[in-house]
Amino acid sequence: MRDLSPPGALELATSIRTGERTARDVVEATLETLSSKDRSIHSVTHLFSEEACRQADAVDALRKRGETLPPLAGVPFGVKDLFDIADHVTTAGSIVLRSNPPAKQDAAVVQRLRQAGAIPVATLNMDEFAYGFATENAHYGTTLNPHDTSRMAGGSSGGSAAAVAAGFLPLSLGSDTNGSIRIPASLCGVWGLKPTFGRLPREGAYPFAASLDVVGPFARNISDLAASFYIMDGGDRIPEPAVAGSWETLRIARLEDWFADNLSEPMVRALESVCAALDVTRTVSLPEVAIARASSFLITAAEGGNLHLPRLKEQADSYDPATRDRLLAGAMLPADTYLKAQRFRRWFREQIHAVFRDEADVLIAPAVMGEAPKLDEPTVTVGGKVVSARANLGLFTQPLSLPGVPVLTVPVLVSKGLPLGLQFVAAPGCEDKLFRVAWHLERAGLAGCRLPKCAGTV
Amino acid sequence: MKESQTDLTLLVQARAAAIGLDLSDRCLPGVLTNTELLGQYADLLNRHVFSDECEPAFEYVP
Repeated sequence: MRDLSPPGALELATSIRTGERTARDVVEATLETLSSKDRSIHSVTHLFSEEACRQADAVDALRKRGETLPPLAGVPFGVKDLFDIADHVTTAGSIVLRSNPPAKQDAAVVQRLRQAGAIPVATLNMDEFAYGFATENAHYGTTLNPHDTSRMAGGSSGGSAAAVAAGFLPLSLGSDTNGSIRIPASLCGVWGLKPTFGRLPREGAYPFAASLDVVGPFARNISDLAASFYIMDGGDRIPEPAVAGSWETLRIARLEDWFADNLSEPMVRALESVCAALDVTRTVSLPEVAIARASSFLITAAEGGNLHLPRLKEQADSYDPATRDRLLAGAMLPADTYLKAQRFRRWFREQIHAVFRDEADVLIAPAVMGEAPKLDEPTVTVGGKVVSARANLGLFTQPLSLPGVPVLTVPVLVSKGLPLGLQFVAAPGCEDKLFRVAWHLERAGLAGCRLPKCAGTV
Repeated sequence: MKESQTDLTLLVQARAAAIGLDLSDRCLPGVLTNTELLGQYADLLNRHVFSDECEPAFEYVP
């Protein structure tokens, strides 16, 4: 592992604003890195070379004229292959949509980042139609973990997490329905945010399960992550990082029971170290977590299946067989089961609101059981049984998808092995509380990104 | 109660017919496996007792 980190998004923007570097230089260096180094991890599916250089030149021209640059002027970023980029076909990791017309405009969050000066340079690999936790794509290949290319990057936003983890990009976008931001962020060791359901606009992001889908960012430091979030949230200013000690007034508790079982030894140590650093002594138990996970799974299957049913009737063989069979089973789920799952969501919402009202402001839980599983032995241990990682990596993320609360994946730095991520959970709309705790952990050297050997330089 | 494999096949074929879906032989084994998995999750959900006032969360605000 190397210690020298590539510049972050805000740092790059400052260097462009001060004239230390040009936007053109930054974008060209990024494109060169993605072209030459990505073959080792396979995170990229398409480069927007010409458009990106044109936008970089426009930023440089703006600066030459002495105009004020927006906050992310010249900063390159990548998007999961399901976000619309104007004039390009959005394929969502599939070949089924390849003959669709090009997008007429950028996805809403891409528009907001572009208005802030950021420059989309690439689309990034994903599980087909976001239905998976592995970023093993039958059409576009498998994304590898930059820290150990024999291991899974996680998914479905695996390309977005891996490109940032490798230092190829300072910022990327993903989507999360059952854990698709949090799982790859944890396995690749980067910051990832699943914002409050409904807070960031989803227009122009190809859907999966409308009841649960959210879009969110990945970054190498918490300031970049928070800045990109506030920009995508439509704010006209980026709040200053929290002042030291502002996290101390928060009630922080650790989730127990479901979230304390099936953990690897390194994950147990990581949890204990972070809780000790935050003086966390309280534990909180959520009720019926197994049913919350089941409901999230069932709603996803039913809504995803229903979305794709017309195409599955016509061209089922164009789908990855594993995706196809999951979607078909979901499409046939009885209405009774789907409605019960939606009623359970209503019930579970009340339970988690009571927790945030009466017991805690921030809850801590593991994001996954432990380190990234091996690609040639993709298993995890649940209840003492060795089971498929692809089907079970969402054990801790799926129950927290259901209530739509914001969840920050925190890459912990307390172990020397492969990356490990924790989930920090807050009440709806309270992303700022997550950032306050995260800033403290980053400053204390307990959370952050390590650079793998294949790292790039921007 | 768990269906036997034959019963499950018949059930899946009936559900497919009900939504106008022609399931090919290539799909059937994978669809059966996934239907069984979803059935296990549905069994878990069926344990929960709902009040009549507990509405589905369609217009959901977290």
